[in-house]
Amino acid sequence: MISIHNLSKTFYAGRREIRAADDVSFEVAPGEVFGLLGPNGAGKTTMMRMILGLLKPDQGYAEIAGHRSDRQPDEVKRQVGFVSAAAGVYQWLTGREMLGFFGEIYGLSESDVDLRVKELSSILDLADFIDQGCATLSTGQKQRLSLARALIHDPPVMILDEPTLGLDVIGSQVIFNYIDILREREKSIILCTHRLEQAQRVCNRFGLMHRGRKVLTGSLEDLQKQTGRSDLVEMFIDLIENSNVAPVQQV
Amino acid sequence: MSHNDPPNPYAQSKKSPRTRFRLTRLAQKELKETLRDRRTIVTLVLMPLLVYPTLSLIFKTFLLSNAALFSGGEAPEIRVVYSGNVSRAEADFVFLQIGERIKFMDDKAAKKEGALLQLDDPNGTENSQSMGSGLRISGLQPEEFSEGFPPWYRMKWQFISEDADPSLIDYVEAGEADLGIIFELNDPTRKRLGDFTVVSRQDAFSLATADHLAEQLEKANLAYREVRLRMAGISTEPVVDVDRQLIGPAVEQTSSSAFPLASLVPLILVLMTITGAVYPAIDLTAGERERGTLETLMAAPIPRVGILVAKFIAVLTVAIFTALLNLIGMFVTIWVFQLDQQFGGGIFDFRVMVQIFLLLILFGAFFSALLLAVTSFAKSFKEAQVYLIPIIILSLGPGLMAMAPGMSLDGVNAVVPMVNILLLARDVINNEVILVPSFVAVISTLLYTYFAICLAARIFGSDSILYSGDGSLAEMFQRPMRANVVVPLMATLFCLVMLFPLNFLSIGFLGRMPAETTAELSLRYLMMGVFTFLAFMVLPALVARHQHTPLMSGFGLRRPRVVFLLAAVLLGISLWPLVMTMTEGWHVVYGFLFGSEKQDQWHAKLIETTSEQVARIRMVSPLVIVFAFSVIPAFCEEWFFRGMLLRSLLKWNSVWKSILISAMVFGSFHVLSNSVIALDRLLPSTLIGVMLGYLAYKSDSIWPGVILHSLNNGIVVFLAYYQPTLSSYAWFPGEEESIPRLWVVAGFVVAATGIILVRYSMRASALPENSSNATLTNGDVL
Repeated sequence: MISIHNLSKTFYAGRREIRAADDVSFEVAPGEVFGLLGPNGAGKTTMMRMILGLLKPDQGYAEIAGHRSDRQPDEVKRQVGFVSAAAGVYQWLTGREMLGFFGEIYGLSESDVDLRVKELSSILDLADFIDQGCATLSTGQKQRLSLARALIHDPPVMILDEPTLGLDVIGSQVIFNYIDILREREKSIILCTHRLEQAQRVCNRFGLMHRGRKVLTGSLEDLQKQTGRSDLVEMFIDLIENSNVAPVQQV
Repeated sequence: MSHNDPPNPYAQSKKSPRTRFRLTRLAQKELKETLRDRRTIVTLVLMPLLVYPTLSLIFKTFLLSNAALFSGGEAPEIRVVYSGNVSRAEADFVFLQIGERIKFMDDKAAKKEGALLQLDDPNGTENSQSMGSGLRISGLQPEEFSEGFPPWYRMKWQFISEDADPSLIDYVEAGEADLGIIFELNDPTRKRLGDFTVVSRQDAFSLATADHLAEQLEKANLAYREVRLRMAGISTEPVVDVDRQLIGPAVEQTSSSAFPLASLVPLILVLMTITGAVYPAIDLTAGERERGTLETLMAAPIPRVGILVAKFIAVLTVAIFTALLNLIGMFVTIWVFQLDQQFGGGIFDFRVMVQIFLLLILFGAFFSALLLAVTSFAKSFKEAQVYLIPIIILSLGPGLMAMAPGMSLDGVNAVVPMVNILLLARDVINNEVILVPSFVAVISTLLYTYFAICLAARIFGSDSILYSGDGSLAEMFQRPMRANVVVPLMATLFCLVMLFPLNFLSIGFLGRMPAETTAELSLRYLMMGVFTFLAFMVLPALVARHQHTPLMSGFGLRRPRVVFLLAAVLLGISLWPLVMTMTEGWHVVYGFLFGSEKQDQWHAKLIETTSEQVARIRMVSPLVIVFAFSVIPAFCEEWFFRGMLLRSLLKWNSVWKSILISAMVFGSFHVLSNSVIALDRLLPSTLIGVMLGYLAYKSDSIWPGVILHSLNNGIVVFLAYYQPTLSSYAWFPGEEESIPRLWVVAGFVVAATGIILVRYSMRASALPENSSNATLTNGDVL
């Protein structure tokens, strides 16, 4: 469903050259949650933006449902629901109006939108605040609304960039529970998160990134075999500490 | 969609019939967003409520006091002090007598004209004049002026005794009175009333009132004479009857008034419309990024043009609301403060109101698009505000320009944004609309609007705006790490922006150089070459160096194939008759658009300036001419326009788009670098620009262009240079004649051969190809 082919991207900040993505490839099948993990600045967000076609890669391409994001960006976007921690809401619209607006953008009919909003609002528990102005919502409510917004067109692919950032335990729980539901519905999901325990629970496969490179890939068992560590937190710490001894690449 | 995907009912509605309505729904969302924001409403409603009363007060106090007296409207009171070698009672008696005689004459005149004289309107306003030295010399209080004498309602009178200190003259000089009358009663028989001396200051108001009073006093003499003649039984029938007839609309009255309200009204309305549109424009573009909704929006499968058009509709709607409210506010103010009586009632015409409103919509559309294009650049609210302030101040320029009394809606004015709309609005108020230029103004404004929206759609949400650097100065002048094959577009645009003031600087500098003798002129032309060299060749080269771009690839310096050189020579010698024919054609078009009278004026001006230039050129050695007009401009302009600019453009745009853009820039520079009168060069220069662009693209080199350009320039300038000699040959057309048909045909054939050569030659390959998805990006910067 999702296949990433040799994506590379370099940024230039002043005299520094930053390899945000360095020849990264992976695939995600339907019904699979791929955990794209790594410390801050590993290049995860850049990866997601390139997959969506928001950022032009220097090399390589992403393919979603048979469409290349550099050639048919609109087709790709139609297949993807995108949630990011930085995503805002329209403060002067109500939740329902905002969902309606995005339904409109994705080409849904009004009755379809109504149906979807009803469905999503029961699963994500939006009913209490869906008719309030977005400016008045709490962080958790906003994030649930963002998730509903990304799901309004029922896309086969979800890209979730830190969907639980700033949420409390209950709030994150709602989101992760829903990710479970999405997996059951055979969606292909890329999930970026720092909540490693949760990731360990919901993801089928992982890709650990560091300094733009994909360092480790595989299921939890694969990773355990490769590293000799039992859980993700330990792997993570190893990864960062090791790289401090021998920096991966600095140009 | 590939066949192995599960069908997605929501993902296929691209061609659904609902797409048509989508735009209105998108616009609805944008409008909801804007109109629920109280800040929009505040600027929308509060501004007209505050601005117009304030403005009208300013009018009343400052502007009208001057304007009224000279425009024949209501005049303020005139304070008169009088004095004489008699008592006050005697003096008053004399004035009453004079007053009766004046009335007698006025009544007689009124009977004859069938109308009352307007001057003596009993409703004086409460304004008083505070001219003169302003030194208060004694307690001469306003209430001490008496009501005065029958025909002089607007004058307030105050008697000063002859030996008083301060004297009558002191009062007038100090400005406590506007006018003084001293009279001497010498005739004890009282047949003569006496000698009058009217005392006034030298300022306009005092002089005007003195003239008026002297005229009135003169009537007393006429009345006296007539009575005497009648008493002697002599007929007073005049030998000549003098009548006056006024024809045509009363144009002079409005435009000669001290303040051109007809120009001011549109300017105020336009500025107010801008204020309404500014906030939504920022909020819907830069605000979108600041709130973090931009990325989400960009992740959706909707063309940016759609989003931008929706935003444009929203901003325009707010602008129209603002315009409407302002229009209402202005008319209410005019009505309440009775300003219409000061300026004539033309503004109250319903038809005029509707037309002005339509013009405001047009202007609102133009400015909304412009605002969106500018604010789309911005990454935050603050940044957008920083961009907009200069835009608004710059737009005051054309606004004030349009207020200048001599301006008319024709020629270049009809296509200058903002100026054209303001002039059109002025003409609407004055009821002087001329069809064709108005049409040109409307069409050009619509075109600008379209381009601004396209630009905005291109910029809005491009990844350089979505994910860009810190916006520091250091970042802007950062040297890139990697070598570039061509100069990055941003750096090229920087060059272009710098060329604009440099150009003006050099024109100014050259204009100050002496140009009388041959030596002085030669020096001036050589300096012109130096400037061209510095601006078009050295500056771009430095920028390219800074951008790690080799000159060879960045400017296209490689050796071209011989076939392109041949084509360049063919085109270089054959284009000029075609250009000249085109210029003549343009004259005809100009005449059609703006009337034959304008065309003749313009043509005469053109010939005058051209022959001046030619006379100067002929003073200088041909060697200087070759350098200053042919070789240097050809090389430098090719270096920049076809070297740097075209090659930068080609990297991110399609071939023809790049060639067209570079040609249009090239064409406009040729208009700007001369006077505005050189508008006739726009089309030919642009077309030659296309030619040169195509040649540079196919040959991947600027050298053929340099040859074409210098040949063409050289031929044109030397034809003028040697005209006197050449004209002595029978086959050569005279100064005022147009070029022979045969020459045009020959030029066409040779040029066509050149073009065919270029067209069917293989393109040299090393020129940067445009990448598959063209987006405006400076992706090298994080």
